[in-house]
Amino acid sequence: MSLEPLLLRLLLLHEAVVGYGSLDFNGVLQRAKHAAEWIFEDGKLEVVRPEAAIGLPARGRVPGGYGAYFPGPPEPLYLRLAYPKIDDATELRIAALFVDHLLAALEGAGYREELERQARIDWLTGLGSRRFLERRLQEGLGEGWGLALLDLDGLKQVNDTQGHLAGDRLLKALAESLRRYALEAYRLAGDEFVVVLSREDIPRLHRALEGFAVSYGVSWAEEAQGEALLALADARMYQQKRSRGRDR
Amino acid sequence: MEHIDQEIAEELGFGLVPNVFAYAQSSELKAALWKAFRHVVLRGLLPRTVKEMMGVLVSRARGSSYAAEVHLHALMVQGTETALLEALRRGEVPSGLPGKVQALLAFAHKAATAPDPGLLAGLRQAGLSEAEVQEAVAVVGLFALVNTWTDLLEIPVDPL
Repeated sequence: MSLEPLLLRLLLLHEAVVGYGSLDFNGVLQRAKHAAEWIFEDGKLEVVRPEAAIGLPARGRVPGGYGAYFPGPPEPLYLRLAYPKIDDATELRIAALFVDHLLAALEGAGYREELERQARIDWLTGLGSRRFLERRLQEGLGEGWGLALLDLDGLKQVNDTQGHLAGDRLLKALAESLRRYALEAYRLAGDEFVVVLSREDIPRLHRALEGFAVSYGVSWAEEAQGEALLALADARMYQQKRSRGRDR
Repeated sequence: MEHIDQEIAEELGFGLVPNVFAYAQSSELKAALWKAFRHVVLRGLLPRTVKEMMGVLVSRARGSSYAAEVHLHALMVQGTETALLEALRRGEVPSGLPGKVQALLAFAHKAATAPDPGLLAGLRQAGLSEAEVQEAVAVVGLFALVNTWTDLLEIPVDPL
């Protein structure tokens, strides 16, 4: 019978670990905090900012408990299991096992979220990515909604004459302006952007584009959906570009 | 019905629909029993393992065999030590367990046949939050419902 409490605690640890797989990063942390209170009597799992954990071991005994450094993603943090019985050799091993499983689960959840973030966000501008836009369009746009396809005129010339960093700065400036006017914006590729908008958003779009040489075409959900909606806006954008060329 | 059956088989992880749910001829009843079990026992704040132990004790105290047998089997599969299983099988509260677990098992044992608001004091003293205390009450209530359901309908224990 003497092993019972220990086996039961291992069972509770197992139960917590099995549940980690279906959770996101914060979900894993919350589950672990709750489980710690069941597995370790008077124990408490704390998340400490790395600056506050300088001098503590990357993994191992810390004063009054057990600690481990987690490098991220999403960001570095220090886990501290405060546990009064940590001096006991068996308790130390259970604490190490608990933290080991937690680190592995956090690593998996952290990288999953990072990959999803990278797929969702355009690396240069921080706007939505093309893949994210495709997902948005697959859901379909409601009546009164549409999209504007923008093409930043003259980017190639900026790249050729002032260098690629200057070109990147121009792309980021346009993205920042779209963000400042709270528009739902995505970067398709190169110098092409898409704004998903309602008819009431058009004046705001015009204000956001002030100061930028941009050609654009707009298409509405009543006309098409998905890729066809994008193609229609693209055709209108090129029509505008050509007519501007003729005007010049 | 098929959707609920699939949900039960997948979430319980046994690959089958236990008799306690399979015997329900009305889809409303089946959904009600399943959702109650799912949200009170499978999910929630208290560890599932401890809630299954509570279920065994409640069922033993009430003289009901279905839930006691099924959850003893589940605990055995999860690796619970024989001595602990035997104590639960006899309807006894094992000793020497962590404080919160001990308090929950003692509560389930007593509240199964003599529900008294005074019993909650032991749970609070052991450090359980109010939400956890409420969940413990719901576990006892749910197993009382399951006992009534399986006993009156003479639902046989699944082949384990």
